[in-house]
Amino acid sequence: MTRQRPSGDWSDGRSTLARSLVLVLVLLFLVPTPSVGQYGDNMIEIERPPPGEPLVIDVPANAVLVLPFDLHEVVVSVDPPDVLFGLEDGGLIVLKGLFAHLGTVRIATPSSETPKPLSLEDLIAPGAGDPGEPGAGSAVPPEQVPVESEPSVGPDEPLPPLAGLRHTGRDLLFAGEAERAGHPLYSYLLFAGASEGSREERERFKSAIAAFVRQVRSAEALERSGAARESINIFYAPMRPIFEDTKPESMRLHFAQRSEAEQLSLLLELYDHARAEVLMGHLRLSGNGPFIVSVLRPLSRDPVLGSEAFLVQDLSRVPPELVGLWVDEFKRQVVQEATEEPEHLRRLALSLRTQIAVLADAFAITKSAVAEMFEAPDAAGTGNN
Amino acid sequence: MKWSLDLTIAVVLTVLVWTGFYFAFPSEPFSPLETVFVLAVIYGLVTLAHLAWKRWGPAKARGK
Repeated sequence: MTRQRPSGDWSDGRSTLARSLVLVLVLLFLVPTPSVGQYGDNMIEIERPPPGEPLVIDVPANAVLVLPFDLHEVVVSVDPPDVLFGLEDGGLIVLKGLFAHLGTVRIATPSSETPKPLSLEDLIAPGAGDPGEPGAGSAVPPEQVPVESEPSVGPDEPLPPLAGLRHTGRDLLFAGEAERAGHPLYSYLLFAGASEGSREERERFKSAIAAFVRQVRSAEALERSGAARESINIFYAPMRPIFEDTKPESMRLHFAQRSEAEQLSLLLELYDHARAEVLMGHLRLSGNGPFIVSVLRPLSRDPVLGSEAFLVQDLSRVPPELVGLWVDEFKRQVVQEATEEPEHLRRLALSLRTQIAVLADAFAITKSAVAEMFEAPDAAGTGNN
Repeated sequence: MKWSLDLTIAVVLTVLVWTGFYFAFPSEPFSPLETVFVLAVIYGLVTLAHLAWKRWGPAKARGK
């Protein structure tokens, strides 16, 4: 018994159409859309959170973030290792770990649909590279616009790019003197403790000053050797005048001509604790320090706003003998953040090294206290005899 | 015997840790006090691991 195939053009056409439709549907399901294929599994499409509510997203390395807004439309704040986007309606997007993966993460916004690598500059100066007009129609109130999006050194001079950072050079900041313009990053060694503070605090400050003088090259020497100002992270220590009624340039020259040991004692003697305290106030830092702080613009000008990015390295709990290692780490980290993936393992090792020193010190103090407890009765007995 | 075995393992590990940190931060090697502290911590950890192995190791090895 043979089965007859239905004849007729209409039936044939219907069957072919149905098969084609099935084939198209299968293909649609099987073949990924270009966007998914292009970005892979690491694509994260971010949606606006409900007004006033936070949305927390973990950002892995090599992720592609697809944002429904341009960066200049939001208030960006950095809270390492996280980055926060504040929206006009009070919504908040917390991108956990984004700051740690800055070199690897790409970002797509409505104005630039092709993902581009996200850099520190995009976060701290949003809209600087966007073709759109930053600020025009921006939802951000003027008082909340991050200060670093404004030129820091003058209305016509743009911010030097952080990617060009290669060196850290030290300089002195004399009373009443403003910072030199043109540097991509301004760092300061700040200590507000009094000279009659605790012994360990004084030792720590002395170590920090010694590291400042011995481990950081003079910015002037770097520039003389051909380093561009845009490649130098300027590292200031506030200092009181060496001579009254003398220009800062002359005092700087006088300081530079002295030996390393003389520079060290001079800086220890004339360190400007009052100005350091004022600068710490601009960052709302509490405690005596020492701190190493880095800002994208001269800190003497204005207090830092909540939305501005800055880095603080708190050395107040570091044993004095290890302060030099942290100053080295600061120099290395600044350049690495700008050029390559930071060495997190090395940073972890340094933290561990510091903790071992702190705990060993505590261990010694406890040991000597216990020893004293046992020795005290004998000593008392000897005294009575 | 057991404490001497633990101590030997702790000394070897301390030497490894000391050398690792020395290569990472040659300007600030561990002081004698810090070395003793690290040895004490590692010895404590090795002893704990030894006790744990004694308590749960055979059962684990039998697959229970």
